[in-house]
Amino acid sequence: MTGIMDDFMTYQQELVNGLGVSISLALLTFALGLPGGLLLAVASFNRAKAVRILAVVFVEVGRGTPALVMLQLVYYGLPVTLTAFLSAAIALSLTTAAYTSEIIRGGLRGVPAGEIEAADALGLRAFHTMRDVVVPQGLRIALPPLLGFCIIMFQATTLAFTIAVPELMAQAKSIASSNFHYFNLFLIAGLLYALITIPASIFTDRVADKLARHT
Amino acid sequence: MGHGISEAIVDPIQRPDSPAIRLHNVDKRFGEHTVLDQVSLSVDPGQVLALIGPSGAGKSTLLRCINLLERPTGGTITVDGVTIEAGHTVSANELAKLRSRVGMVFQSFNLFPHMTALKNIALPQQRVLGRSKKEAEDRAHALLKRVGLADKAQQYPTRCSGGQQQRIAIARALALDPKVMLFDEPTSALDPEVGLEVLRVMRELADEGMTMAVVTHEMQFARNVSDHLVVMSQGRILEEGDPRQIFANPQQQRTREFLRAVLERE
Amino acid sequence: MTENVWTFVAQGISNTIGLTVLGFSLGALLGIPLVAMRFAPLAPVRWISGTYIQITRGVPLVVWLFLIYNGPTQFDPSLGSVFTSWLSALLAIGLVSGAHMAEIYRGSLRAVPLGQREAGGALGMTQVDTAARIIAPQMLRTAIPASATYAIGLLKDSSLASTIGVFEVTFYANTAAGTSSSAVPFLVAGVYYLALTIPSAWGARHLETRLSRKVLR
Repeated sequence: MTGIMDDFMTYQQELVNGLGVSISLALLTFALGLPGGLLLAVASFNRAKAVRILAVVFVEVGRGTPALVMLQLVYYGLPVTLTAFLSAAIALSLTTAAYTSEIIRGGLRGVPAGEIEAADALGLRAFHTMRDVVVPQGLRIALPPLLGFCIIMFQATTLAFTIAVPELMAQAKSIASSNFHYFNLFLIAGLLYALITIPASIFTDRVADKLARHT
Repeated sequence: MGHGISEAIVDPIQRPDSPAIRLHNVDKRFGEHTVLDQVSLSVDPGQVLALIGPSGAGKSTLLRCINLLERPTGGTITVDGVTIEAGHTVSANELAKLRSRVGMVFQSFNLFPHMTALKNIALPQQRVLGRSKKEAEDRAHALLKRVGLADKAQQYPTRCSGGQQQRIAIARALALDPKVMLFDEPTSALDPEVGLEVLRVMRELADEGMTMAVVTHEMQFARNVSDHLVVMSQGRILEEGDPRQIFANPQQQRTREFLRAVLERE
Repeated sequence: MTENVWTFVAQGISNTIGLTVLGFSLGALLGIPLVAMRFAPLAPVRWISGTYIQITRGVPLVVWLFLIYNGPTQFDPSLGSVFTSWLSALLAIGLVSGAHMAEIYRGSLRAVPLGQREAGGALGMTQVDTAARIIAPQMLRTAIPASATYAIGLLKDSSLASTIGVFEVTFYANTAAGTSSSAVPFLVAGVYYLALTIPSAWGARHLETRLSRKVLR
């Protein structure tokens, strides 16, 4: 136990920096991926069939491809040279967009048909009905599963170590391979992840309860 | 805009004596099933039309055809000079033009629960009529006052009673200055006492000269407030005319049975 | 080379499927005692199970993989030959999916109306009888679609096992990409995953509609 504490104290700087990179990667992923998910969800209700089909194909491919494969594809496959960090953010946000579009779509569908009808009767244009009536309420309905998915994506930032993004897992791995304290360092990394994910999931449950009570 | 016959036709000349609503041979079919069968009727400006009849008669469908929430499969619909022919593709502009003339009030209110009463009434004005926020909110306040809910402006719909919600919904529709108001069983979801608040607002509206079409189960309202009564059954008009006359002396056997059944329950 | 990429990466398919099926089975089994503990009359038992589930789900799978694969060698390097890539991956996936499966079981248990749980007791059925005849069949109707969705997710997550050297689809793609320095092998891997997941997802949806129809009837 003291060994673990010692390792943490010794490599505190690297580990905390790594966690910082993990968090920024996650935040950039959400900033890119969540609007993408909303866009895809809205597109799946578009009147034009071609738009709907395009959205469905993107979502199915995005959901069917493992995040790790998506990461390698973006990093090695894109014709432009991006930093590993940016490649990781793009790959993870593609996955995020595909998954969250399904979650958001469920939320949008949860908006009562009567309200959409009322908006129609008032003469609101489809765009306004979507933006002012359906989306705000649909997102509210989708909020708990969205938060849950964000926690999963935060965990998925660990994959970025495979393309040498200096996030927490990469740091733990590189320290461990020099001092051979594999167990200690991976345990510390796991605890640091849990330090964020467990409170976040408790918070998510609270939000879900609160929303459930209000409706 | 108008590209030949594939689109709806807008009547450019509005005759002052033309009816506010005119339906001509309106049909609504789902496959084999006929909901509306060649229904024709007209409502003059300032008139209050009451539609009554047993459930499943097609009253609500007919009402919803007037603002094209239901697309009729046959016939023509004219509202305040705008004519839509069934079977043709209706452009977004045509639809907007028609709906801007028609306000609608639903049985289940259908207020937007994430907006305050004020915003429910103000936002459609901003979006549909392009009014400024200030203008829209001033009008919303005035209308809330008119329906007796001046103090509810900042309240969310779920914090209001059913009767209050329905009055907010009426204000929301009136805010767009419609030429015609449609009411689809506006009091059916309400307790009788609460329904009276709503009926009082509707009656005031009628007295001020609003053209109204009301699908209702409130026989008092149909008899005392409406100018014209239409009794429907199985997708057809059974009989129509002066409400007091029909209530006193129905011509059709089926109307007699219906009225007896409804009035006995009251 | 291009034709070879398809056959080369295909060598990993059996391991991808094997790891998914075995890991899921392990998790499905492990989930049963975990969910039973969640409903135990003794508070500490419930607490242990709840904490286990929180922590297991809260730590990324990659961390579990390396903790199990590399961790033991810190204490005894010879343990490296015990915790092989394959065994470590299986244990990590089993561990994590056990926690998820316990949550799926719990959710489906909650979906059975309380009235029916009580009705069994009122009819004089024993607890075991009520559990076996009334609750379990109804639980399965909601648990099976949810488990199927989870298993499909696991198929994709099994790609992480490549990072500790399990010879599955992504591992072969990685190797081929390294030698050919192109991203094509990952495209091939992506196609294989889609070919495995999309039909499974359709199957799961079909199963779900069939089961829900049964409930309605």
